[in-house]
Amino acid sequence: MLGKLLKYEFRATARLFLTFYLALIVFALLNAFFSTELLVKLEGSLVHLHLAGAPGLLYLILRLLYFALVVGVMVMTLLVMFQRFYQSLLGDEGYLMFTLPVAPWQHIVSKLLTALVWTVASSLLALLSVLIITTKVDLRLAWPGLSSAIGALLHNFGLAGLFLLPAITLAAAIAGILMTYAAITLGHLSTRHRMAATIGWFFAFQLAFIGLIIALLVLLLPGLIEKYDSATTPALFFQQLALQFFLLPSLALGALSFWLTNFILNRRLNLE
Amino acid sequence: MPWELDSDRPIYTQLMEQIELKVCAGLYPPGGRLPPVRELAREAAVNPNTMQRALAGLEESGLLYTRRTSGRFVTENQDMIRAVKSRLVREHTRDFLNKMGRLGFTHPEILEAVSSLMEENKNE
Amino acid sequence: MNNAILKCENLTKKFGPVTAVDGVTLSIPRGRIVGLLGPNASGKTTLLKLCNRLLTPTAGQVSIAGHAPGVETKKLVSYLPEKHYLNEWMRAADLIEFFGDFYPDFNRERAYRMLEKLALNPRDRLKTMSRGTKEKIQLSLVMSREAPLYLLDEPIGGVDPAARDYILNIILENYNPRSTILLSTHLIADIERILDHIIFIREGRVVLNKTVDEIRAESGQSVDSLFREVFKC
Repeated sequence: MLGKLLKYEFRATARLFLTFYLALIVFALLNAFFSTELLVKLEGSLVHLHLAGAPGLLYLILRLLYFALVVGVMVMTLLVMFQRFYQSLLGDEGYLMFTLPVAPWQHIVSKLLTALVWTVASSLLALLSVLIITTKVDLRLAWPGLSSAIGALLHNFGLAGLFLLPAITLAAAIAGILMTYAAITLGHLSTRHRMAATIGWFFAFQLAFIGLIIALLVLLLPGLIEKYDSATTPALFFQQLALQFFLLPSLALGALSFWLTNFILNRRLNLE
Repeated sequence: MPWELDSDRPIYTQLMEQIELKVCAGLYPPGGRLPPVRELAREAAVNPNTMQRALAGLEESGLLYTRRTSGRFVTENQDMIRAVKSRLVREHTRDFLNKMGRLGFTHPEILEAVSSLMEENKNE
Repeated sequence: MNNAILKCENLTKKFGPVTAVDGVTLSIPRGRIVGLLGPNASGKTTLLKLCNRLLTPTAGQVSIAGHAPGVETKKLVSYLPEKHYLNEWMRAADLIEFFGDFYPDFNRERAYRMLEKLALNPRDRLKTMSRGTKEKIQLSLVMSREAPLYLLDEPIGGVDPAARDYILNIILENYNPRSTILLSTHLIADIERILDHIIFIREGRVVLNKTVDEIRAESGQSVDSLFREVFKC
């Protein structure tokens, strides 16, 4: 059943996202070809030339539109993520979703996974569009920069740290999405001022998250620093920090939010 | 012959009457097979359970009978159908007489009206 | 053997100070067509939503074929809400796939046959259809399931008389003698011929629970006129 839910969730969202992605790539290409800065090779070195007048203005507008689109894609990703959850579970569509022979946790997971995939896709597409513009479509040019960035990360955080970084990002993303789901579901419980209640719960969760991190830092950081001796490399130190102060709180609050949302959808559902 | 049901009497008794009428009119001939319950219910736009109940009532009276495998049939007993017919004639005539009585007509007047109307119809 | 497909025990639902359903106790057997009748805002919709667990009861309980509402009972209940719950971007054919994917008892052939009768192209998107057409599609989908219990909220609510006949026909055609249909309405005259059983509900309470023929035999009037008498509307 989860597979079927995912299939329909992707189908419901794919058209919007793919249209935006296509537009993003098209505008990135346009910006790559028509730029206010012309790179000209002059006697072996690169020289920037600025275009003025009408074509310059046109290119400037093109650039602005591109930025608007990047921001648009990010905002849309966030909005669609929460609008899908609210509309299809707590709005009129909920009449259909909650009469399907599917457990509430499967609904939550299907929404979460879809939201994650689109978040990752939107981020990668945004990165790709930046690379297209900066390298003038010759993506091979991006490699030296990327490899030196990875090298720096590897040097500072260690190999384990290199894997920890995306893990933390992912865990934080999951926790963020689940906390918002919980805030929406809790907000829906109040009969009046739902929007205000949702926003209130949202900030309550964010505060709890930050509070938890600070509490952990206060409680555990002194011990960690004490143990910090000549044998501890900066990479190892970072890994400990990441694990204890970011990954664990994310997982804890994510799990709590998931449990709360599931409990309410199971036992306290009221679609009016 | 459409199904005519009043809204103020039990539906199943009316269904029984209507089926009797259809049998008398030869719409369902003696020994002939009746359509299945579902189809009859749909035709009359009534609940299948109510139709079932009406048919069961008619079976009890002997006008219909069931063969276990092949469905429900009208009786082949002509006497029985004749008896139903004469009962229906009496019932309808009595209703008619009652109505006329309420309108203040005497029996000779009613007879007069009936025979003159029959004469007119014959000439048409 | 417990033959009831739907049971409510002391079912109560309050919305703040308002009691929408007030201590309803009911037992509905299999193989019936039952009319849930009452004026507007008498608690019909709330009662049906409680049976689907779209609302959580304030007190009391519902059981379907002996089970508390959950994934298992959702397989048994085919529900027509009073709202439009279908995705506007979907085509009629997508919806048939959707229902077929999730409900094991969904009969695709039957659904396509009904669309054909409505002279609808399965490739048309919902967006392009009128309100009445969407209502008919929704009912067709719900009646294409071979479920033991159908809960239909105002199936003949806003439609014209011709559509009403079509809908009654759909219900009678697809009705299976082992299934129960519980339908709510306030338009009784059109529908009383197809009902076995009547439940009158007022201000969230059951005020009458009898068969149609009992009512007609006892009161000498149609359910419709009895309804007008009881509710004085």
